[in-house]
Amino acid sequence: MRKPDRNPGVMRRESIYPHRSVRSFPITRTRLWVALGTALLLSSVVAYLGPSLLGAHNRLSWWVLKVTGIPSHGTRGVEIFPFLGSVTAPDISFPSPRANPFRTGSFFAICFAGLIAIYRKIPLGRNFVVFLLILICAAGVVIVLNPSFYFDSAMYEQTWLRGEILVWILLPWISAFLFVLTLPNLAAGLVWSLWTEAYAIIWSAVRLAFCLGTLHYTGILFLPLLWFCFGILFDLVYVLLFYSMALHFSSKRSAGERKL
Amino acid sequence: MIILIAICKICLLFTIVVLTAYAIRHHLFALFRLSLRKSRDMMELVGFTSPTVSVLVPMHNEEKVAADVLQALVDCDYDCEKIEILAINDRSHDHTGEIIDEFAARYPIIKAIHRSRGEGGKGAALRYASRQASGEILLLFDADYIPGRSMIKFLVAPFCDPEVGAVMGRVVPHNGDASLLAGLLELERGAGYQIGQQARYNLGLTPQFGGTVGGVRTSVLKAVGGWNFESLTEDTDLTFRLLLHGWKVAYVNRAECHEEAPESWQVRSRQIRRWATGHTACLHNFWREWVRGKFLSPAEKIDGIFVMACYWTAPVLVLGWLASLVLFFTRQSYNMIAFWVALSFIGYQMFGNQATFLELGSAALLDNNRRRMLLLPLNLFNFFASTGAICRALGTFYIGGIFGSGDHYWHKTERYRNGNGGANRNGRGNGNGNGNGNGRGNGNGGNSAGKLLVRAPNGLYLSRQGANLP
Amino acid sequence: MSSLPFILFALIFLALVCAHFVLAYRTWLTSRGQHPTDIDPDYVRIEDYFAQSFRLKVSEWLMLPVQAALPDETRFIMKGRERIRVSGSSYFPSMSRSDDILVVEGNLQCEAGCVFQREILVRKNARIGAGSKLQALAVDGDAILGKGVQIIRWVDCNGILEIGAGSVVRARATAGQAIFLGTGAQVGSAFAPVVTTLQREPGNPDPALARAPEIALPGSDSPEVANHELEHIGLERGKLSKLNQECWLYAGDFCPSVPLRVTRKLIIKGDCFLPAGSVLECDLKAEGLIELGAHVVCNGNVIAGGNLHFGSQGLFRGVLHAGKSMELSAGVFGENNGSLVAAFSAETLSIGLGVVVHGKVASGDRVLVRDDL
Repeated sequence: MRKPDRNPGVMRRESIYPHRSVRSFPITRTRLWVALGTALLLSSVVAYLGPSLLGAHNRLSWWVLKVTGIPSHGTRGVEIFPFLGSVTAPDISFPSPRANPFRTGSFFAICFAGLIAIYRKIPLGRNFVVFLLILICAAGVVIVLNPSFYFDSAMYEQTWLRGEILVWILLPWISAFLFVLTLPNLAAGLVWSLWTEAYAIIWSAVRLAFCLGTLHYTGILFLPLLWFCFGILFDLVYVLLFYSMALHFSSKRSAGERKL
Repeated sequence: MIILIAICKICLLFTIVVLTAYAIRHHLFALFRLSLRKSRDMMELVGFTSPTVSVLVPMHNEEKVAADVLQALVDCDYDCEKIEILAINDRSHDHTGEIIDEFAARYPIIKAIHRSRGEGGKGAALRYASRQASGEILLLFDADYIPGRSMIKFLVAPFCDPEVGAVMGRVVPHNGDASLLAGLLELERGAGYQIGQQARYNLGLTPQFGGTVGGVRTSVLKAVGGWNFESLTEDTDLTFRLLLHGWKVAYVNRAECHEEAPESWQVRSRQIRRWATGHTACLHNFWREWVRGKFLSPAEKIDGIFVMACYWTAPVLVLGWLASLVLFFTRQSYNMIAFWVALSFIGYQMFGNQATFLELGSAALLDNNRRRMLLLPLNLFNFFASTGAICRALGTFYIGGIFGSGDHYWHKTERYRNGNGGANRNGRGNGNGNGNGNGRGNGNGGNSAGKLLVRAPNGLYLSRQGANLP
Repeated sequence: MSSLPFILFALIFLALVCAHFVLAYRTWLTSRGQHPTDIDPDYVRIEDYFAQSFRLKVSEWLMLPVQAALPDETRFIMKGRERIRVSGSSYFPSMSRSDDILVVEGNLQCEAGCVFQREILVRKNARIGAGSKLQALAVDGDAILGKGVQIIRWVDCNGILEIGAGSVVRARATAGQAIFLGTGAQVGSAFAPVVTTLQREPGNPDPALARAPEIALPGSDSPEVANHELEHIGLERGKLSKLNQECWLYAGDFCPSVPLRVTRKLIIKGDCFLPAGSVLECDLKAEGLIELGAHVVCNGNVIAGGNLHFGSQGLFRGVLHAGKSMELSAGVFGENNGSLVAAFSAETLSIGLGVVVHGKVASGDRVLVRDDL
């Protein structure tokens, strides 16, 4: 028996807007394949161009450091992963806690006091502040109990880049879920995916420059805290931001309307 | 040091496995619900089954809101010969009793039940009133909810299925603009109900009965032992007992009712700590039976464990984070960096009470909640806040279990509404209650005295009435 | 070197960090007072909601000023970009076309092949010619849809609605008295005191149905059901569990070899095949498919996780629900002593000829009348 005509053509109303309890966004096979394909392609490109991307990333970081007056005492090769080879990391000087205990202690006290002030002022942010307090105290304890503890800029950059390159490879897959599969507008989803990937690389370079610059002026005390706040956690912040923006703009029409 | 590092690596690996499992589950739920074209609901059968219904409304010092809920229930479109409303005055000190009596005198379908003695708490009040209920179906509403006119028909429809033992509707915060926290919780509730509950129901898993905006079959309730007022979360407790005995819980996405989400972090913290404690107590009480449950499918068993253990993810996440901190300072091999990345991505996806941001965004999309979608980045702080509160609650729970001194006080959740919502049906929308993203509404028709959570000799976690507390 | 450049950079950097949250925070500040997930507490679910809503709107629209009038008392009212045409009894010849919302204060008759792009309200009776296409139709009297008529949304009438062979109503069909469905007709759902695929005059249920054979399930009423009694009829005791006083569970396919009278609620974790002449006194639920033989009487509800096949000349007094498709064979009768019954399937619901349902038939896909059931 022939099914009803799915394309009424000239009829006035061509779709209905159902109640939110029964709205849906069918995930078609086309969309699935596009999502899979995009993720695979982007990840492969990133993996294949890894050394080039890391090089570009580092050049950007160095440029920022240079512009902001952070001196570099040469460079060192650091290995990221075997399949990526090694990259050149700047050797940035920083004050040793042993040589400048008062300075390190002052920084610790200021940071601690600042965090306590935030703790008191903003109830919703308290537990986040507790995480930061733990980090700063852990760093302080390590410095005090293990004066010979050593962590330089090259090591920091190595740690950073290892994390970030994996983020860049994983991000297309996360974008596949967030942008390509579930946004009403497929084209917009692809654009957002690409934009997020590009932003990840550029923003990582800027963040790294900030962390290395802070290392230069304050020493290793804030390294764990900086890595926690501005490292991978921050990758998630901008992914969330772009996802929320993409959702907001994509749902301008009656999201979930059903064709008659 | 080597042992410490080894332990840290194991902890981190464990964390990644657990959080990966939850992340996969929530992504699946979100994708499934988004693409769900035909919901497994009984909406087309609404009004074609009309069993006798007893509506229970426990009230403790609810003079501000009592009239609204009673009037709303009287105005419902259910057959008035098949419904009775049991308004329970549970040891109130204000004018709640008088208001109930006034309504009972005016409307024959309302029965006033006054309770001046006995155990405190909502569960005890329900148990007391259930004995006087004559309906085949018991529906529950907290005092500060205002059900719509067709709400009862919506909730009753799934009971045409003999396997359904309980039904749960959707609670929707109405005060999302009252504070930032309330706005974030509105997103969270949306994810919990629109995505989580609906997906679990359609997939034949374990949607939860929430204790308000829901109902239970009277005969089934008796068969599974009635209300357990010794539990901090009697609704979760009942959910698992129903499922263990072969009954199912149906979720009705269309049966929406306004509630009021906590507006301050203090209130929210207390609420989430109670849920975490009560939920985890259920885990300990039921997990053995659950694993062996003969009426449960493998998928239900797995999902049930996920549900029972959902509050464990917070301490597991913190454990993994601490372990990775140690590994950071000891500059371990690069392999652990990969684990750290995975941990971060997966762990930090577990925002706000186990809802990933994909669930949050998907729910906002389905609800066409365009503006609130943009609040997602701020949910990060809600996540940290919740994680801390849950860890504190579970820490107290387990330490108390070991040393026998972990007392947990149950505070009546604060009301915000001033009780003018029901006077003008068109002008209202200030529901007041405590739903959560995992499908429970734990309104507080119970006591203002505290409950203590103690560990019984048989290992079960029970709550006992404590001294009067603020 | 001076640290000023770095301090400047740090400030810009921190501003960029904050910028990631600014949009969210601004949204929070500016979205106060908005209630996107507002609930209408006065909403009452009724089957002919769209039709009633349309009638109400028409009564408001008719208060709008008249833009133009014709000598035959036809008048035109503009409602935004749409035009409402109000007229007395109307006749539309074959292949007519109208883009107006029509309010016919009399009878409406249109010949074959007409297209009405907007809703129509008819105060008396309506006769729609074969092959016509309408948006929606509300009739205060009786309505007859010819063969092959397409209604994109709903149709409602206060009297008798006849849906001709091969006609399609994509959404709801509701009537105040009865709905007659022709062979090959399709609707989204049909609701009326009587919904039938008989040609006319459904009358009383077949007396034969009231005398459906009643063969009790041996020992089903007793606390302990004997093993040999169950084996005798092709069931296994080990699979039967008692959930409570009123409900049993059977863990497997339920295929008795003789007609049964089941006096308790029964949940089947498998498929269910009930022989002809069986009687269900209470509710039945099967996770898989349910096949009810001819002359089965269901006094309770029947819920199937999969397909549901209701044998010919059967009788149901509750609701039928199928997770997949449903077939109501020829002569099935649905009635409950004055109360309404309902049948719903998530996929296609096929109805044979001679089916009478006092209430509703609905489907997540379509309700289809077939002459081969």
